Amino acid sequence: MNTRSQPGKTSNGSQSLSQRNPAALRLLAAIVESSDDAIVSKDLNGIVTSWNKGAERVFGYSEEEILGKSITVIIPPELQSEEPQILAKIRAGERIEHFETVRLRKDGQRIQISLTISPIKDERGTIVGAAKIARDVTRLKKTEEAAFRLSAIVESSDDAIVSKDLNGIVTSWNKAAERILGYTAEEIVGKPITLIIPAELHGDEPRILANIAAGKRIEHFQTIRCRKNGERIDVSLTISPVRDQNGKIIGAAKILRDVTQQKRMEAALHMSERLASVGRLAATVAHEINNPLEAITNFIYLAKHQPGLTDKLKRYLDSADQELSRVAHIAQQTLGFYRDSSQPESLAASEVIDGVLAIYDRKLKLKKLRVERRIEPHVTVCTVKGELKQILSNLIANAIDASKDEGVIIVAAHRSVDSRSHRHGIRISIADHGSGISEQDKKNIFVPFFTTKQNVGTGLGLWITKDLLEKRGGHIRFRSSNFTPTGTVMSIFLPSELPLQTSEFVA
Amino acid sequence: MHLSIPNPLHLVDQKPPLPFLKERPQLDPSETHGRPKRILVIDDETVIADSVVDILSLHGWDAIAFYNGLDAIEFARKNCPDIVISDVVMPKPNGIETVLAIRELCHTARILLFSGQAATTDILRDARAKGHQFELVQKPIHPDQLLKKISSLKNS
Repeated sequence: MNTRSQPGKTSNGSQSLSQRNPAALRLLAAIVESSDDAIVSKDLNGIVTSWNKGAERVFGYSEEEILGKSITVIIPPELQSEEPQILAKIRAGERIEHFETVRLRKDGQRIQISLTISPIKDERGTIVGAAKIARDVTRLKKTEEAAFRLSAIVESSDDAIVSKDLNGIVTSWNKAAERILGYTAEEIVGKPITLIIPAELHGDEPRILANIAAGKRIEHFQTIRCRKNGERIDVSLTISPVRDQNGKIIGAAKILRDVTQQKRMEAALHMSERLASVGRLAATVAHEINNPLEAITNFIYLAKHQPGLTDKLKRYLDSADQELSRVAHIAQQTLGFYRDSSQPESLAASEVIDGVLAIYDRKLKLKKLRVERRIEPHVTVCTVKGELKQILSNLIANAIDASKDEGVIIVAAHRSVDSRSHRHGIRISIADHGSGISEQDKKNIFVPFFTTKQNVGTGLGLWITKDLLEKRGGHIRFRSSNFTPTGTVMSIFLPSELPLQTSEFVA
Repeated sequence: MHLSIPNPLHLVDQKPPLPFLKERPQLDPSETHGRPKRILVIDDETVIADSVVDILSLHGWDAIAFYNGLDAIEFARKNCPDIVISDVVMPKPNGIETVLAIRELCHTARILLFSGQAATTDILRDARAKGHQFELVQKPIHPDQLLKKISSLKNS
């Protein structure tokens, strides 16, 4: 309650004026009658003694209805205690200003009002009652609430929402704008919007402003904006004119959405589609060349077995045979085990791993590599044997190639629960202390035809590995460092149960 | 029942050995048992059928090339082979149909399929659904490996 004590002096002036001048008195009465606000008076018992037209409008009671009645009829039941307090203050000669409270209209509707109440004194200065001015602020309150709600929405939006005037000066800047563009509201409000427009696009701004001034809306305008740190981001803009109460355009509101991530995802999708079609093409080509390859291999073999070959001719044929086996290797890697049409079966992990290690026995011995097996006993995995062999042999071959002589390769297998999908399955890890993968190469190791082994690699091993795993509901992850201590850990997960739909790859 | 089918192999004339075979460094074990075993090689790609037959002959096998399944089945009706090597994806009858027909005629014949095409997957899946399991090798297969494979078939 906002009160102010004004003992003794308030109405002396006006009373003497009205006494002296009946015209002035009539003028005052006219002012009261024509006021938009309710102006009423009551005595010290709270009995209404006057009630202007404004009061009739605000509270719904006519003058005849309420004169002589207690003012408490317009006070809601739960606020009845306000009245004695108000009367007490009035008796003490205090004035109450802009007291916001709730009152009841005759029709029972509650309205929010702002009250100013002053004591009324007689000629002798004795307080005889109170004059109160009540303003209906219901609509104002509603507008305020609506504005508050709107600003809360604006603030909580994920999109940047900013406004600018017709000169391109920023007038508001929400939280998302701070997050997306890096400037705080304090930093940028009052500054030109061109701060966030890349230099080469500054020409856009006058055109945008011209459109806005003409009352046009710009929707989903794809462009580039600059963050405070200079980073460029892809954005989608929707810009609408902002009008004042009279409909005059005074600025623009723009909603800016950061579509950088979306663009990246689109690019990634495009890339993966491209890769899929490259894969299909590679598979088709490989199929087509298999028959001619078989024929050439056979003919070279037959030629090599002809009697009376010169050494030179024999060397040529040996070279041709070797080159041919490279081509065959690439063709097989491309398709390889896609063609394995066996059904998934339950396999003992240790058996499959040992089988693959046996294949590489010679290579391991050649580099004097030691294999440390950490295989949990009785772990099984449900997959196609050929596929798992292909996967493991790709990973083990890579580990061998990366390792220095006399190094160690650790092969671990244990039951596991995938942290993302919460599925049960098996995790097999193959770790080496080899050269490691550079940061640059890490992005590309699963891309077909990417290889760091210039002369021996096909660039298909890890791509196929990943594809085979994903086909069976599994995945591959890796950690690698090419700074000391160097090394790579490739870790694959295969669920113990098959995904609901297993799609066979048919080129 | 298949025991009642006479083995016709000894009735067939042996091919005279190729002249250069005398200098061959290694001899196939099949030869050391007196007579070469008969292999039918079926592939609609004639160069493959012919070259495989030449390679097998080089190693002392009695190999005969066929370019379609029907001719091979017709031949098998009179002369049961020990081993059949067949391509899979061929015009009617395909490799599976061909080897099934030959197996009907010659119960002891060993079967090896070889294929370089994706369509194999579908054909094999159908065959498996009907309860037929076959050994399959991928084209291109180096002659050394093919010979090893055939030896293992013969001995199994």
